[in-house]
Amino acid sequence: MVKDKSIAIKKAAQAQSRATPTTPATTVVQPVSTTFHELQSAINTTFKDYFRNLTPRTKLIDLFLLFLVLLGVLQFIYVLLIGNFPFNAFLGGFISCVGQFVLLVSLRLQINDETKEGQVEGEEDSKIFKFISPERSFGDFIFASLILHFIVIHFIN
Amino acid sequence: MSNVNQLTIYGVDIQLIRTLLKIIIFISIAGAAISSRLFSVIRFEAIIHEFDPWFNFRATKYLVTHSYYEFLNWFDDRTWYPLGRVTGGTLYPGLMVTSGAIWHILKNYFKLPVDIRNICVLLAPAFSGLTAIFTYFLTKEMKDSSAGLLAAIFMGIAPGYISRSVAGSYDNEAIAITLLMATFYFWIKSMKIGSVFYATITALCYFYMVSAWGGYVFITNLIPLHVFVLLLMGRYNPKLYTAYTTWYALGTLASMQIPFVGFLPIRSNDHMAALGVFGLLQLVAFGDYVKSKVPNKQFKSFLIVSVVFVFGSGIAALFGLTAMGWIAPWTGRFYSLWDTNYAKIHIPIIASVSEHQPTAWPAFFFDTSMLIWLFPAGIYLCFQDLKDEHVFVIIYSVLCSYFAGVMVRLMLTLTPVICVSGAIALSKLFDVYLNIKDAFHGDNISISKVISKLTVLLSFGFYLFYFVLHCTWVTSNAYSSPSVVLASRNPDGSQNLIDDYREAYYWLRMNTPEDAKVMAWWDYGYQIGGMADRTTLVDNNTWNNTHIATVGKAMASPENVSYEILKKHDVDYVLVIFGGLLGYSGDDINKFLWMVRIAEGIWPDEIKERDFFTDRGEYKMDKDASETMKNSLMYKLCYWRFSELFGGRDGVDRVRNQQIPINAVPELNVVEEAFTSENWIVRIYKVKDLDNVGRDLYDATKFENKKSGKRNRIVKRPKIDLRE
Amino acid sequence: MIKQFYILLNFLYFTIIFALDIGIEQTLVLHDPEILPLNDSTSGSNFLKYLDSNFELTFADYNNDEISLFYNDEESIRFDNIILFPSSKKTINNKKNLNQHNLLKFINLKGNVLVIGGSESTSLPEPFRIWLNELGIYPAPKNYKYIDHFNTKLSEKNNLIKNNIVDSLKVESYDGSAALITNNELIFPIISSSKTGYTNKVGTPIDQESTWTFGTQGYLAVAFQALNNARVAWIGSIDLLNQVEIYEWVFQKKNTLRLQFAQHVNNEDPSKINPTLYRIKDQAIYTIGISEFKNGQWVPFEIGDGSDLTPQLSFKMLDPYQKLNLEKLGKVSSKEKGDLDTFAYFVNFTVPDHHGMFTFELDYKRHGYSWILDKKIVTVRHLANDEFKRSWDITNSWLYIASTLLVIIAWFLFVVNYIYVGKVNYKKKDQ
Repeated sequence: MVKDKSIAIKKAAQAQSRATPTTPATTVVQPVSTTFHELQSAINTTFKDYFRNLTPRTKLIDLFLLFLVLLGVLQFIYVLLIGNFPFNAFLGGFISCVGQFVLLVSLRLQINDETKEGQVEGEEDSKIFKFISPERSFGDFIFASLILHFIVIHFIN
Repeated sequence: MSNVNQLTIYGVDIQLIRTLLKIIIFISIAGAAISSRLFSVIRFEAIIHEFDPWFNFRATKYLVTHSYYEFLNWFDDRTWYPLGRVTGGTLYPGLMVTSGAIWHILKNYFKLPVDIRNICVLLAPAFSGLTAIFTYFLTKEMKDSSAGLLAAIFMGIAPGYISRSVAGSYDNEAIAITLLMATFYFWIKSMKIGSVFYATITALCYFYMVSAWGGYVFITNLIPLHVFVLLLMGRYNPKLYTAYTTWYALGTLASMQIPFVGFLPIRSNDHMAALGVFGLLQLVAFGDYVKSKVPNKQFKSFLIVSVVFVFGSGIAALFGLTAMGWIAPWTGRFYSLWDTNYAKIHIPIIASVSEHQPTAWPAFFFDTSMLIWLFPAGIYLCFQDLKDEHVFVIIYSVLCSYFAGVMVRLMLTLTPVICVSGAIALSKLFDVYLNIKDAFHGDNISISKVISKLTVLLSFGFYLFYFVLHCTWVTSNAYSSPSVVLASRNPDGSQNLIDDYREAYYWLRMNTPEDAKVMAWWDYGYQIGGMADRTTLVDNNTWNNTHIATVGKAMASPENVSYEILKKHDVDYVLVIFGGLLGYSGDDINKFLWMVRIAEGIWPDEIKERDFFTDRGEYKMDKDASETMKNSLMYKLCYWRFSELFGGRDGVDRVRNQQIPINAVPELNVVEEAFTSENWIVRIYKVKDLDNVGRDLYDATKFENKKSGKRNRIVKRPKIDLRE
Repeated sequence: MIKQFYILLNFLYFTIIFALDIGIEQTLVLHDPEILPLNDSTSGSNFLKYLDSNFELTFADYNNDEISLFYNDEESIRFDNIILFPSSKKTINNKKNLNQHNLLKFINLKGNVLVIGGSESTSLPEPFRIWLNELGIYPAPKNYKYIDHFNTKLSEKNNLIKNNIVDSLKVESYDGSAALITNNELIFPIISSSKTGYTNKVGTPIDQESTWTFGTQGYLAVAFQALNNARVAWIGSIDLLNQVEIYEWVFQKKNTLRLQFAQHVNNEDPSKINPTLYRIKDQAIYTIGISEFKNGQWVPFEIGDGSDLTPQLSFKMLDPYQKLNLEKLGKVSSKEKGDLDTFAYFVNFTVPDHHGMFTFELDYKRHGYSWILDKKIVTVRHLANDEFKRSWDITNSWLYIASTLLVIIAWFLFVVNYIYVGKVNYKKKDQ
């Protein structure tokens, strides 16, 4: 899904850049180019911020996330090339990636929430997951993943 | 609350007393829920009711006598002859597996060999107790435990739910409503605290629900809708993401394990909303992440660009995929939800089911009594509070109110939310008026205040009391009849049981060969399969419209046309339900027009609905009946020798209040009467064999009847089809 | 000769009338004693000799009150065959026992009837005629006569219809009547009128009213076989009794077949005969054995290659999904340690890729031979959930399986690492 996102952004960026020269009025060019500009800076800030906040754990999670995305994309391309004959196998493989991905993201959100609290930002909701400690979230994660894997294996055969 | 902790009464911690009281209340609620559903068992006996439950019962018997593996791959060769039915792959196994599991546990661990029939009969009441408890938890999440308790008792005895869960009503809904409440409870719970664990439980409950009832689509759409509305309200938070994505990924994957559901969750449009929201949530989560990192202004432009792009591509993809046939278009039942006339025009088979008719207004009051007017009050209170979970109740109630208005049977899904919001309203009211402390707190005890409070409390106390009476009355009078056995009153007031169905099915079981094929209208398919254990052509699992239309055509056609159909399908017996003698209105003549319509849908040239009415457009069986009507097999089977009962006068059909002329007795050529039950409700005819000497059966009958007739001398050249 | 025959007839009549012997077939001959039924002495006497040597005969005239077709239980027949000679009277006395309904019942209980039509002054009594009409045979009434001015004798070219009973025709002169027949599929004509033949009321000129048959619409010999294989033949004249095959056929001495067995097996489990359950795309083998009754015993019924007599199997559910010619297998014995009295046919085919209740139907209807009908209903089920091709058998899905395994392995590594990394974190914190 993040893949979609990044593609979306790129496409949008391309669309914008293509649109820029054709528009004659500078008043129009101005906002479009600023939008584009802001977009770039937004991405830049995000990236910077992202690397700043990276802990070993989140790094690990993100690595795994990246791996899952690649695997998912690979399967998707494969299914487009080969055709969806063993549909259940494809679904099993693909959904296992997606499922694992969202579980990981959930875990990351929950853990990040914890670190944010540690930094004491002073925001209005200092802690979103009040009832969930990182240990518990990790336990939940393992529980859900196990179920996921079980079903996937059952699904593939 | 926290300082109450220290309170003790007679040295016992008040918290403990609360728990104890709660447990007692739960037990009594469950007891009330169960016992009010036992009317039918007490009044009649422990038998399976209605139609669908007979199939479930038969399937359960198959499950306990065979292995689970065989059940899963069950190819039923005793229904839908000669097509058969891939039963294992076309049913929701949850119900059968549940009772099968209970049966095995009782047998193996408690050493209690119970008749599977008793488990099936009592399963629905037992689960209704659980439903009450889950309703309690759900309502507790909405307001507090007092509202929860009220909701639980409402749920326990509300007739809207009882109608589908009396003892013997062994239907999918029996456990599905319990699971519905459980799924919703865990969903609210996981959404509130953002727990992956609860979301997983929600997914598992959802899986169970999918395995038990086709109505799971309701959850599949309601939860995404809830999330979507929350997103629109700008209430996104990571908890929502966690709960929803976990539920969706696991739940969808799990639901695809049910053979009947298969790949539907990613193919059919009914399920697309959930997928869409899943995708949307990913985007929103990413956006949220970006938002937390970058300045507001930059984010806005980022947002606009991406939103436009995503919506465009999403809609294009949906249309593209539907057009390419990757996604199944919406199903007929779904359309009929939006346009009540859709079914009538396009799919008579759906419209012919009485459950699919729009609900009459009195039914709402009948089924929920005072809750129906507490319900809007509860919704109003939800609006006042409007936390995330209240949004859920509001969406649920709006959707269900509409659906229940369209289809009678969706009253069932409306009932829980009525109970919940009714309980919220009532408990709010009690919170205010029961607050006696307040009244005595002030310096001067205001008499008027006390009196007004007392009036309100007493009147509501009375309402509650009346509610219980109403529920009991409705349950015992309207919903406890097994419909297999009919009850009537003799002139002296004593009860008279009309047991024609079982009499006839028993006759079939005992007097026909085991592989005999019985043709009857599909309503009776499950019962014939379950009670008579004979092969049927069509049954209540109306999966093949053409096959049903074939039976409709056989019933609506003249005998010679019917005979070809009967022979082609190897039919041995034809069964019709006739209420004319007794005044039983649910008979085949009253359903006959549906048979005609369904058959007309397939063979518009051969069967025409218009031909079955009189010239003045009346649906008549008496001397004015149209020729097509009089020649139809159904008419003949129903009124064969009927007038003879009336001693020389015209017969009187008590359902339609029409005179059946004695001098125009229908003649039967291709079938012969085999059995007619005591009150003539069930009539069974045997299909004749082909004539041994190759005549058509009209001629054969004519020849037989001429036995004692006058001699005819044919000396003229015969006017027949000659071989040249 | 004729007188002798008549004496013999009376003698037999008195001695054997109620003689019952289970082993020998009983035959009833109904005739009109007032006219000597046998104008043509040679053919007639041959016929009677044949009857006498093969059956226990009962002779009776149409007015005999003691003749009853059934035993007292009304469910079994007293005679195997009835032969009806023409009579001069239209009505009969014994209407209680000899009426159209009892005759029909006689056929329904598998009795055979040979009807011999009369000439100008004779015909069948009324009940028999009505009964024949029910079957779809309408012989010309009394006073009608078949006339052909151009061909006095019947010839194979002009009169014989291709059939499986009679293959040569030798009738020098024909004095009798003709019949009309309906489209009843169970009737098959043997000898037809020539194009120039017609049946007309004797002594009246030809017109629309007085003719019974014109040209080839009239038939001189007609065979009928009911669904239960009871046989009836109507011949227009006693002259046709020299066609021996016709009456042999009626008496079930010719072209009588019996299905000794019909069975099917699944190729995967041939030891189980007639299984009720098949799976789609299974290989099924269907075998039948047919015997023919010849000279008093059952012998193998073998058909020449490519003959249109070859039996066919249809494997059908509402419509035939397969329609197959059976192949010859060889001579077998129908009983254990018996003679080779049966000829077996078989066919090997793939069950269609469609589930449902299918019927193995052998519907052998060849005019002139006994009908054979055998239906065996079996269930063809779908593949069970574990009978589909497994994912690991399909190369396409290896990638998915690999990816799933990868995810699981990666997940495991992740969990281990996560815990490890977490420990490091805490250590850092502690420091």
